[in-house]
Amino acid sequence: MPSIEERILKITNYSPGPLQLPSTNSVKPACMRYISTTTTSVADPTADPAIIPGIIPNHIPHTRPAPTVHRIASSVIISRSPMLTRDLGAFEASYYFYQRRLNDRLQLPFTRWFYFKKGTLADEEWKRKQAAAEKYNAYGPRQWADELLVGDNKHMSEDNGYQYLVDTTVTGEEETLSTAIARVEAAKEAEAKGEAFEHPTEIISKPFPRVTKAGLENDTKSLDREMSRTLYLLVKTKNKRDHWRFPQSFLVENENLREGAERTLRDAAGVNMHTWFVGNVPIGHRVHDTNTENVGRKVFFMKARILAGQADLTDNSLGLSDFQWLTKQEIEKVVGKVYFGFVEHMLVAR
Amino acid sequence: MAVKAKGKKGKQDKGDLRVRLIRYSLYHPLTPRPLRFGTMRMLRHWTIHRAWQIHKRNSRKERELELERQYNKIRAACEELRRTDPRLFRIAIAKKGVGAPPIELRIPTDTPPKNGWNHSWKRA
Repeated sequence: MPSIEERILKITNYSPGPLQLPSTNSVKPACMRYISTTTTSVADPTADPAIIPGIIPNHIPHTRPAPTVHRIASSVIISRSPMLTRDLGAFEASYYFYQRRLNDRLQLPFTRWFYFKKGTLADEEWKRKQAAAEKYNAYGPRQWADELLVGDNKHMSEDNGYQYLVDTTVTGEEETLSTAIARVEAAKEAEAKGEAFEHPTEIISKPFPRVTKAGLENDTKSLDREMSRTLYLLVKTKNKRDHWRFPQSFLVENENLREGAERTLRDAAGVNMHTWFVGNVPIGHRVHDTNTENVGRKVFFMKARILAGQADLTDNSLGLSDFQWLTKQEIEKVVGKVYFGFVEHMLVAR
Repeated sequence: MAVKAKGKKGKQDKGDLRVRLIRYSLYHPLTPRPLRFGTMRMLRHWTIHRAWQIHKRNSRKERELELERQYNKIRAACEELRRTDPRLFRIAIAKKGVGAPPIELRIPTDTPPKNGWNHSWKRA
């Protein structure tokens, strides 16, 4: 499959010299980090081992001379994958409720006498709890009224219907008045003595709210925020103009991209992060042609996940001053248009 | 289901009481009836159904496009790497050290874990 540049070359009939694949090039020293992209004076490939013949220029036509040399940098996009299932939109929530009501109409009614023997305590408890519950009856006289009326938000409960289940489920383990009084007395006594009183554990443990404290406070350093979305680690550099970027550094010695990304993450955010690198392949790149001394820069982005731990910037060797865990939408506001244009399609919306 | 006559006339073996109860509850007199909709209700139902199909298609397309864009990004990056440094490209393409995802990866749940994210994890 020819690259875009090769196709453009074919169309425009622009010939920068004999086109050769890198595998057929002359042997290059392994330590060579500086790669030439020049297209002129490649008559004799053996003259300079740093110059590879047949490398195609980045832009055709050139608006300014491209740098002859590029340094390679590795950047790490580390994300916390969603901890919670997707938040339902208003349409989705009401659609699922509509389907549930239709399902109620198609189900067999609950056969009480099959599950509760007449006259037992459980039977009494069931009758009491069902009478108290406000409930749609798919087999009653108003069985046709299964749809929500406009403005009715009864199906959108904060606790996902937990309280309703507690109110209507027969547990057989109800606290009688005497045991409740005894427990309160014991708690008061313990308090008077200054001892810690251990309350009995609940029969059904209550689920935790989907919006956490960090989410309410919008603490962008916390990983407990935006739990149904993907969060990405961004760091703030301390150079002339402060800007937020993904952690990034140049490759050293014989490193490959993944090793470079792992080292970058260690240098930037410390070792106390349990991480997993998804693969060895870069998920995106950025070419900087405008640089001093004719030296360009090519940044390759590597993908990683955080499984536990937290970033810690104390004594980092990359000169970073701050970090944030942000969603894609928040990144757009923070990093600026140009940088976001390069990274936008590497990130997931959810 | 059929009750089998056995032995003397008038005496029938009805089988186990529990089995009979389960059978009776399955063949409840109020067995599900077909949903009968009036014209307007049917129209509403059709509209809701169509809206849901469109919503599903839109979200599916959006996701497919997102994946396609991610793939194109990877492809362009690999192409650039191949033209820049063949050695790095070779290492990136080789699947050395790429294995199954770790078991610590959490499957999304409806409610958060008790203690939230483990911020205090330390490398041993």
